[in-house]
Amino acid sequence: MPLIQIAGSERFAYQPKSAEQTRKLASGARLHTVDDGDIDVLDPLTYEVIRHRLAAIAGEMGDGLKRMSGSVVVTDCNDFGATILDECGDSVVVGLYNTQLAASVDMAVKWTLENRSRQAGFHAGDMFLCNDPWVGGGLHQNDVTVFAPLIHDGEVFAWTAVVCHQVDLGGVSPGSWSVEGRDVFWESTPIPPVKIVEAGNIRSDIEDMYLRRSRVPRLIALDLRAKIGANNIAQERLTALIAKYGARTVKAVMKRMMNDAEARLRAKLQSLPDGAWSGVAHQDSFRHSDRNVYKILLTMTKRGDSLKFDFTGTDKETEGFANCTFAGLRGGIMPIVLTMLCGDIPWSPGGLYRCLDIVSEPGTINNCNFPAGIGKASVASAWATQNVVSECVAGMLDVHPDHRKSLMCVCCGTWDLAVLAGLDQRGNPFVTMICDSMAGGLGARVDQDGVDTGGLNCIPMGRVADVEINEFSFPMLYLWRREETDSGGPGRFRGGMGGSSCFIPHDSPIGGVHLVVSATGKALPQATGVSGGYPAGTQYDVLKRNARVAELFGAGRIPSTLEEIGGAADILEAHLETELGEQDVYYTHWQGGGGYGDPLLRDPVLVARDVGARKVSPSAANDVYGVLLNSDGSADETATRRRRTQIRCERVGEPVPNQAAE
Amino acid sequence: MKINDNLRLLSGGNVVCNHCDHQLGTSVGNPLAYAIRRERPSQDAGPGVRAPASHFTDRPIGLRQVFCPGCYVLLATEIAPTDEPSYRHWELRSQAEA
Amino acid sequence: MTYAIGVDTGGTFTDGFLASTDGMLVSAKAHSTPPDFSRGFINVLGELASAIGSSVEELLSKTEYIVHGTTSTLNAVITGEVARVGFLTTRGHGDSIRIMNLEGRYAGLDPSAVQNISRTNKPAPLVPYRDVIEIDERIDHKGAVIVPLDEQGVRAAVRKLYDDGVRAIAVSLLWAFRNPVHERRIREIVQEEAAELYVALSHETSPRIREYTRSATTIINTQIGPVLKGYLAPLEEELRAKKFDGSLLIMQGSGGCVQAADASKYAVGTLGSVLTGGIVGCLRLAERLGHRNIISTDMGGTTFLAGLVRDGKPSTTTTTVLHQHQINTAMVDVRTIGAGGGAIAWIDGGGNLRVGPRSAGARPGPVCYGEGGHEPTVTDADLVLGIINGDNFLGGRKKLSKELAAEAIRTRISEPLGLTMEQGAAAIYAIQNAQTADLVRSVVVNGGHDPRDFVLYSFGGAGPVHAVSYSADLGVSEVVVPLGSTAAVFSAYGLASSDIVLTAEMSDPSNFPVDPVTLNGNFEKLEAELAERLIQQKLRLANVVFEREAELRYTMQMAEVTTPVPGGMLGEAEIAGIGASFEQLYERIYGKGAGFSDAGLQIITYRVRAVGILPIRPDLAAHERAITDPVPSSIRKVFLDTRKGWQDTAIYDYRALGSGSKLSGPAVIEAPTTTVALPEGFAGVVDTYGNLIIRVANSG
Repeated sequence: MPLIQIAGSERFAYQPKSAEQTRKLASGARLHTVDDGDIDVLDPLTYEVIRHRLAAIAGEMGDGLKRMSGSVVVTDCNDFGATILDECGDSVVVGLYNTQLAASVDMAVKWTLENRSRQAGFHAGDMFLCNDPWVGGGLHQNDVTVFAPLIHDGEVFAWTAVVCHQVDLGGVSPGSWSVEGRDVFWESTPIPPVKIVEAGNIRSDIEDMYLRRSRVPRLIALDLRAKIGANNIAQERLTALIAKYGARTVKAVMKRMMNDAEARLRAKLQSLPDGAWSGVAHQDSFRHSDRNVYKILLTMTKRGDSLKFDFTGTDKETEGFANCTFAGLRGGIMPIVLTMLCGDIPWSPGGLYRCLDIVSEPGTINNCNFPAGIGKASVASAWATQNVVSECVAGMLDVHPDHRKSLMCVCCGTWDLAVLAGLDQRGNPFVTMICDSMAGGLGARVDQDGVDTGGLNCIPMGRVADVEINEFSFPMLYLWRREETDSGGPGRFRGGMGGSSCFIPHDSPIGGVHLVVSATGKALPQATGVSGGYPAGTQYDVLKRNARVAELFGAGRIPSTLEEIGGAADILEAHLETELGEQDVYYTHWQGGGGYGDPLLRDPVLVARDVGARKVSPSAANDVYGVLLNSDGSADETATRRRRTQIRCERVGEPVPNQAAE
Repeated sequence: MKINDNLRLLSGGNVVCNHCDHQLGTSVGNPLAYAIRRERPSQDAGPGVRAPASHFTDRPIGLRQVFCPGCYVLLATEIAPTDEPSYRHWELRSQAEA
Repeated sequence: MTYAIGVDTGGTFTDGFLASTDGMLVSAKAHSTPPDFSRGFINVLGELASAIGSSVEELLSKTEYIVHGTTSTLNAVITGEVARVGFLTTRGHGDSIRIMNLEGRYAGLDPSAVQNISRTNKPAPLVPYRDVIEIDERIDHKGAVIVPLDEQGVRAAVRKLYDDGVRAIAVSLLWAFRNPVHERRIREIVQEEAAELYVALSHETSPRIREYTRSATTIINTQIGPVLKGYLAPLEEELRAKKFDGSLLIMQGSGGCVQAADASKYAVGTLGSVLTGGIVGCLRLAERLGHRNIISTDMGGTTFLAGLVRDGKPSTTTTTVLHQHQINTAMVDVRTIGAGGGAIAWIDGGGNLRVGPRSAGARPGPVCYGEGGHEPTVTDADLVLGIINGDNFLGGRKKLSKELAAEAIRTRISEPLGLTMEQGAAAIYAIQNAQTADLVRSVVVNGGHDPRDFVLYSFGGAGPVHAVSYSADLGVSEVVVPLGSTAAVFSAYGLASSDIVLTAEMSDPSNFPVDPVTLNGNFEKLEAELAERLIQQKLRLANVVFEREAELRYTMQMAEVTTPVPGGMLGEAEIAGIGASFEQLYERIYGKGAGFSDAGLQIITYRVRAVGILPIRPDLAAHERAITDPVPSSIRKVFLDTRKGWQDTAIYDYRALGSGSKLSGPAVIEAPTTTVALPEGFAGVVDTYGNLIIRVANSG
């Protein structure tokens, strides 16, 4: 049925409020606060000491979560967030992990303050759980956040929060990636904030309600304890900090950290020229068998010391599972603000958000209403939002002689999802998301190439699991994992290369595995270039049915190409749920980063080096870079000069001059 | 003022090519008004564009590029549905302080 | 009568320490002599010999063993002067060392650098593309051979690398630690093709799951193995020529030493060599003073190092990061957690005062050195606050300019913040102390411990200036500043009093409880291997001890907790006890309720350490007793505590203090190697070995 907004869902469609408004709406709770006078009297010494300690605590929360969790996504791929927020839910400090996730936690805390202050109330030892992306705290239902009020002298002093991706919380398809879904009812039902821990004890009734929906409840239970443990660490450390310096002083530092971040971002914006930058981000397909292309439009206006993000003109919300809520839209903005504008500014989003205005029409693909499908929001419309924000911010920074060094062209256009499910080699049911595409290519910079398989810009400390960890944990065997030639966007500075993995089911008692594939960027690349630079290559996933791997293994050979593998090639559409049979091979190739500048201006020596290291093919060197090589692999200067003249003329349809006379 | 690798803004508001000084437009309005625009199949962007777009979508997808009429340097590149306009623009309203 | 000698080669000085079976102790210093560090080694032996009135030959002929802490391998990695290596790996996985799990882009970087993501880069791959060759072969997670080894391919690869000039080969195949048959066959083929090639196999160098780190470890081992051999072989030859008939032992990062020949085979083990002597010295001192739990801190001009001793054992780590590469090697867990006295104070874009992590380094150093530094450092603040004495710094070896320091602090810190010059300096001092407390606390707490159960030992020229202040913040019970006759060569003393330590481990992941046959078999195999290696050390040992441990985790987890395992044949009850120990450790680290027994347990890695106790154990020299109460050499105004401000402070010359001397704060003690700041509210006493022991006043 068409998407018709559900009556009664409005209450959950949260728009973040200012601290003053939240304070007023949270009238059932006593909130600790300080005034400007308390902030003014802070001496530089105390400020720095406490600031340092707060950052250390956020780091410890992340470390703790990583060591306690059972999800490869968390332990080996660092896809999680840790945040400390003030009493009104403004983020004071976020850890260096998934900044998309951390960017939306404030909404969940503010919603909770406004809706739970009387009932269920806030008491020492309480923690809340939420995975409702309309409320906030995550971008899709797999992002489950656990957050806790820090109670001091009967008042809510602050909040601590951790969030990470949970591999399965139900819905039609394994991994909760319902590729055939048309609205949210095909997916995991969102849970608005509920009190999961009361006075230090897990509420088993709430826990059961939460776990019952999952295909892997024990793993989800282990991770729930990891999140509680990480909050415990932060609560203990913050309590000690208050005992030592006093609540007033610690709070004044928290407020000043946000003020400081705001002031520094404003100063940086002030130093840039006023202007407007418009861009677009495309996504091909919103669900299985959908062949349309969708757009998110952005006009970013910089005036004085503030930035306005206006998404007017973005496509209407669409049947499928690739829309995102307002939390997703903000989760698309903040990672770029943090990594490209605030590389040298403390990460206190509560202050940074004050410099930003957002204009967006509800009911569009990156600000959808309930019940639009959002199962893959984080890597669909939220990610596409991030791409267009990245493009516009890069254009703005490029104008400044110093700040331009902070820009990256768009990094890895989106996530290349592969969910595997079935029986593992020990006979236990499993579901997992293969996170190899975490090793995306980073965008090129104004003075150097993008980092090859360098990661994603929304997760500064992303990571991929070793092949052996995946093979140990899941019934699979890799034929290869490698960097892919020509996947980086060509340019004067080349975008970082993406990579590919190719694997077969291995050692499952039932032979094959169930496979869910979800990845756009196949009809057109999503990691765009800057200043004439080319986009990175497209995403490319191929399933080979009835391949001859067993035969090759028997002959003592490991295939290195899709051709060698044999069998029937199925170039997979964006969204598909299927079986990977015992004789089948899956090849998944994710995107690189966009290029910077005209590739004909690239130093031929660098092109020759790239060909030598298999980063660029000889044909791309010739066709795109106009570089020809000598037999020893070095650049042929004369031939290159001629070839480049020829390409320039062909670009505009001019006749090629006779160069033989040179 | 340098705007990016290829463009410079002159004090009068004219945008010129950084490599050959050819005038391309004005900072307010259309900075690339006089540039040459060309459209080609998306796979002409090189071997990085793996499978043809028609395998995945019914929309027309193409490679659009903008060149300096003076020296033919590449000023902008996008791969986009060609049944919609190019949405990538910019305008500068004031000089930077720095 | 025979001798044991310790020789510690640092960047600047080579320290020597000699102990005899009849209790004689001698120390000496010589300049280090890069790039050929062996000159400094021989020179310091000359100094020791002349101190006991003999020739080097006579000294060496009576020396039973020399324990050497070397910087040669670490230096080679840092300068990049390593052997060219060919890398053979499983087909399809040659890019693993370029992908680096992508974490190579940020591993080991300071958080402020990680945050600035667009300026981060991966290091150059450990082996360039042309020297990486993929081999057809495959073993799966169970150790089953899925594709047999392509021997022809190996031969062709070896020949190609050899013809290109490669003389060292690293081999790391998927799952080789589970089934080493292909790696072993590759070594045979390499030796058939070219016997002189240096070969390292991943299942021997680092038999642990996670191929990227295993490969990186194997490659670095192969790069530095020939370097270490090239350093040690001629050195040993020269010692033999000088009548040395004993054992040349090389300190490992793991806290014990091995024969020189063994050290070259496992060269990554020596990357932490120079860090270890100090920790062993610490252990020996702690045995004397009766301390079981110690935080060892060493704050020099450019770095701040911290390590832990718990229950009389140094805390160790199994991985380390070097140049953004992840390496598996057992090391005493000594962490660089700060920038030392050279940490630069600066005002950030928001107008906030920051200290570090950038350091002025050895050149130009702090502003007060007058060697061209303009940015104020912690040492500059210490100087203008009167804590250190510009005329008597490090025993008067370096003159410091208070004027330059004050000017830099005034213009760059105090004025922008609207403070007086002194207030700016005081803020730098206090911030440095508070940050140090944060960093030291995180080392202690992340190890699952409470700082209040520890004594803090403070080494290094800049350490005792700050130690008492930050220790108060940490809540440790006592601060010890080692100042006796061995203080100047403390690491060399540690080397001379160390043990032989060999480690063997294997990865054999399975569910827990594991059956007794498997567990006992694994440990027996490791112990038999170690017993054989101990015999090869050809040393007279006072005693041998085996220590077992295992890495366990809850099923589905990916990180393990190292858990002690009792010795001997274990039955089901004892094995269940290992699980219980794991759960107790887990709760201690992560808090009550964090464990999840319902998930079940897994055992991943088995490890055994063999400790061979060497026969000579030097004692510490006694310090002369005080005959009178201590008399200050002067009184000056010093700023030690922001709450007290400037105070008239007694200054003592350490050399005039006998054992039993009692001091109370505010006071400053100037020793030849360092300066000790004793703020008001603390009391110090010189112990029988000449160390300064500091506690909160009147706390008993």
